[in-house]
Amino acid sequence: MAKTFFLDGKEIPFQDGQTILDAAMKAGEYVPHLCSSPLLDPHSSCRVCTVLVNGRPFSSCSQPAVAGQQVQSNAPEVRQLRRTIVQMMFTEGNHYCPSCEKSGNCKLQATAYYLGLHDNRFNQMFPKRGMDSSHPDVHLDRDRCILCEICVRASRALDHKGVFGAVGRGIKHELSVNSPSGTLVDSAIAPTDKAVELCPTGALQPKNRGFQVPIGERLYDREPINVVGLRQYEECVHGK
Amino acid sequence: MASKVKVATCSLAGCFGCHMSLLDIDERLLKLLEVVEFDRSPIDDIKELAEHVDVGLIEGGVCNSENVETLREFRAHCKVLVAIGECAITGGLPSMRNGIPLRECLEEAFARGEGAHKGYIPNDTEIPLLLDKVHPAHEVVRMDYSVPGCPPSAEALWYFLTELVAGRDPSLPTRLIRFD
Amino acid sequence: MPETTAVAWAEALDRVLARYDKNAESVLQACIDLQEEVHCVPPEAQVAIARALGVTTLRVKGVVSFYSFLSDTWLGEYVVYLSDNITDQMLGNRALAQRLCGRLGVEIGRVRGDGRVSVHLTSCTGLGDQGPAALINGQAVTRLGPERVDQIAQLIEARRPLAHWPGEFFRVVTNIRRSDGVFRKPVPPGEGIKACLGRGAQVTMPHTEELNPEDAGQAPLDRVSEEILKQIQASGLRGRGGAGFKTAIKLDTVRAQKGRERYVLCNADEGEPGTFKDRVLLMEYPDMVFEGMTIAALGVKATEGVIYVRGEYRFMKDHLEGALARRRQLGLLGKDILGSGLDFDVRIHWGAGAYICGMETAMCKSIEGRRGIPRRRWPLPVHQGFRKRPTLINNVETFAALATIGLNGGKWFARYGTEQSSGTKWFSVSGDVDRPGVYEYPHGVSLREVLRDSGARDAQAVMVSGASGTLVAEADFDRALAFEDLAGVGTLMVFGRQRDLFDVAWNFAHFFQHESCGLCTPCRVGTTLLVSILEKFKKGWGTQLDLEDVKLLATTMKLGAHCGLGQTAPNHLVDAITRFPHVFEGRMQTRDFTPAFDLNGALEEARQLAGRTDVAAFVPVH
Repeated sequence: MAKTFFLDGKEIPFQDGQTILDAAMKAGEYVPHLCSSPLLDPHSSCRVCTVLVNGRPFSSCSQPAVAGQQVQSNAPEVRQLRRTIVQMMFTEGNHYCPSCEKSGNCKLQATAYYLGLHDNRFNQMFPKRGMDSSHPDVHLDRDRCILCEICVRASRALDHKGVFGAVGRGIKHELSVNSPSGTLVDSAIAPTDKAVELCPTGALQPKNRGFQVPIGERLYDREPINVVGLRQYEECVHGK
Repeated sequence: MASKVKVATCSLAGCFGCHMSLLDIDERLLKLLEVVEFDRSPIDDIKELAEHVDVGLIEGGVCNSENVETLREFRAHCKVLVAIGECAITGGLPSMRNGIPLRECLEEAFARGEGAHKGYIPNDTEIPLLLDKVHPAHEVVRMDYSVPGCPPSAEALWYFLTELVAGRDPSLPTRLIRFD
Repeated sequence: MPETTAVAWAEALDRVLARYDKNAESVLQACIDLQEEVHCVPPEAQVAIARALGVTTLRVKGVVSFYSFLSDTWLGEYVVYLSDNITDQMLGNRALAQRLCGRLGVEIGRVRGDGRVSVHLTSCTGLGDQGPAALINGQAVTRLGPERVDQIAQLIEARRPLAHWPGEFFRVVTNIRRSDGVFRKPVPPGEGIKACLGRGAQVTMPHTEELNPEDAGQAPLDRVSEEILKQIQASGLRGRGGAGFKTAIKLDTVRAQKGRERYVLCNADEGEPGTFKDRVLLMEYPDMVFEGMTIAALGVKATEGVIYVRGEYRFMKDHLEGALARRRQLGLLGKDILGSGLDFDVRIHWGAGAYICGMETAMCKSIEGRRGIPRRRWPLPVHQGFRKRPTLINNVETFAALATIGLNGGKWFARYGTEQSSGTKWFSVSGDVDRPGVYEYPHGVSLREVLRDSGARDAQAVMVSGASGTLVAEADFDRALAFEDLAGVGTLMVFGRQRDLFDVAWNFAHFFQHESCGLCTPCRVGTTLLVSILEKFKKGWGTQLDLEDVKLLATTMKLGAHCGLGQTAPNHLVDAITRFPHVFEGRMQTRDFTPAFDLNGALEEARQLAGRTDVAAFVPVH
């Protein structure tokens, strides 16, 4: 008899050690998330996957499922929390969707659409964290970075290169590159790295590939992130 | 005859793309005009705002003193203000200059740049002064609604306006929300 | 940095690296040592440290950029950090900062042209009862005043070594105003341990009528450990670091974990603004703290102990190392302690200016030589803490209390205090009081009684439990200081009627923004947004809508933040809005909305570039 917990009243099976997010996604219940990937250990930095577990907030990507738990992902305060967090991300960075090569394929953008965001609520911070376009094939725009550190983790655990790391504290927290010059050109990065592939925003992208797919035919033009997300999760887990 | 909803529009630091998108509702414009009457707007060339306007559509962010004054005028005369498009909502592409010191921008444009003629920064009192940063509309006056997009599609604008005019919640369904 | 200094750092680096094996955990300590010697950890040194310790340069850079006291650029010959807690501000530290900078011809945060000195503001340094305080080249300086500041400026100009400065400058007193409970009779070194071993022996030899101390060593460690747990359970001891978690449960859980490797960590980070009781305990009763750690080690059968001491207390280095050395000589640390069969020793690991490292999992990361980013909540440190092994983490005061429980037993301890909060508590009292210092009371004492005893002067509000605590008004002064009522770390900052409480909000909001680790969006962005909203109120431009935004951010951070810092950072603002609404009302516009920024200020640069002062160069300020 499989163990189960309840997600918004629906019974979700899980195995010991599985996180709430993992179990939910496998059961076809989409929970929005930005800093987690089935290929990586949980990071719980974006906090978008927050759910209420027996009334208390936890990030579902790192919280193990427990039998009989009452988990709420659809409660009004949870939905409001996710909206505010994503608004904070848009406020913190310079997310110029109209001119960004990732637009239409961007998880941050698609999550904002899914949450029904019309605006950013808060005052724009207009940071100047800087770009790194030194590498011929890979571009880094730190002002699009949401500090999910997927690139840090993927570069270490999947690409076995350790190209990225975090420096600074608080609002000055930003990505840094592990190379003699501190820029990408003399780092071990390659455009085919998982670190580049898994970036959920336009922060880290391969060059010379932008705007090849017309508006209307891009990934999230055709389907919303809750549909794409579940499918990608399925593919990822089976490909593992 | 029931009085029509009075709608005024302007483009601040915008490219007028949002206005073009509004016109993209094509023949539905005629249906709109059954319930809406346009006041001050680039579309009709009325220059002054009426005393009481129901809806003000604001395209573009706030980049200079004239934008500030225009936006304030709209706020004072319009019951409801709507930020249309990315520029009005976030500052948009014009706000990409925010990372560059104002002096450099003006010197590039007027003193050093391609085709610069006189080589000094213009100082005529008729010319509005630039703010040191381009700001979204809601950082200058209270805004009531936002319609995102660059531009928002004609569909999105049609949906928004018809819902608003009918007195319903004009929030866009997910399929009409775009930031580009 | 001058040529001579460049040579100096290379030599210093060799000296520093000679102290450490090739071990990634030593990254932070090596950086602290180098910073102490040459006042920087330059990029070239980071490369060398990385190579020597077997980590990437980026890892070292990440550490240097995280901790406030580490710097990749040279900070000058004399580095001055002025404590900038609200209590320091109330004592006029800002005017003194200006005076010092004026005398030295230096701007805050910038090294003087000739490299002589730099002056900075820093978070509360734990000397709130003898402020305004500063750290000069790591040494604590207390009771700054105009004269002392002038003298300091002269000494810096004359390049006098700190050893030749008046000793009075560096006098740190304990200010123990009241110690009338559990600590009335301190535990002599080793007596607590012996008593625990004795209890263990009694269990194995139930017929022994007299407890023969020599037989204590015969008791198997298991029995001793069990008996220790029983005593702690009977005591009802709850953590004294603020969270108030039952120590017995923590100990029991660690004890029950598989694997032989387990650790006892003492949290001496004491970063909560206004808190200094742990400093006093370490100054006055270091033996009791180490005794408590050893008893805990016996309880969980730990192999290693670490005390994490905040960088602001580096002036206690010799004192603490001396205490440890003495205990080793007495056989109270090291191999087979008092014949118990336990090998246990304690080493000091230093912090370098990061409030977040007072959080358990962040502290573990810091001791592992990393950035102090808190780990995800699960698994708990008692299951997987330091080095992913079972770890018992407790506050300084908790371990000191453990020593008394070890000697006198749990039931004795539980006679003090209340049903739910047994024992006594050390309170750090500062602010508008005649007698700032530490006070020991049984739990359950009323706030009013402490205010009276400390000579509170016409208090309008008290911040209970530091910046992350709660701001209470007179109506709450009769409440009890205990976990079931006014809970926390026991810090009381008192604000007299003459104070503008907005200054309190302003200070704490900046504190949290500065100390946010930056991992999670709600806190990293939220703390900055809260500061920018307060900036509007500071200028008198706040609105009701801005207060609504504060409440939205508070809800978001409480629900969404990764750790307690983000979850509690907005509390003081919510308290101020609810209980002291006049604080914001006086700085508000009646209109529902004001712009996010100063419009005419934003036109100033353009005005200057165009050389215009005509009316059209301004917008009406309405």
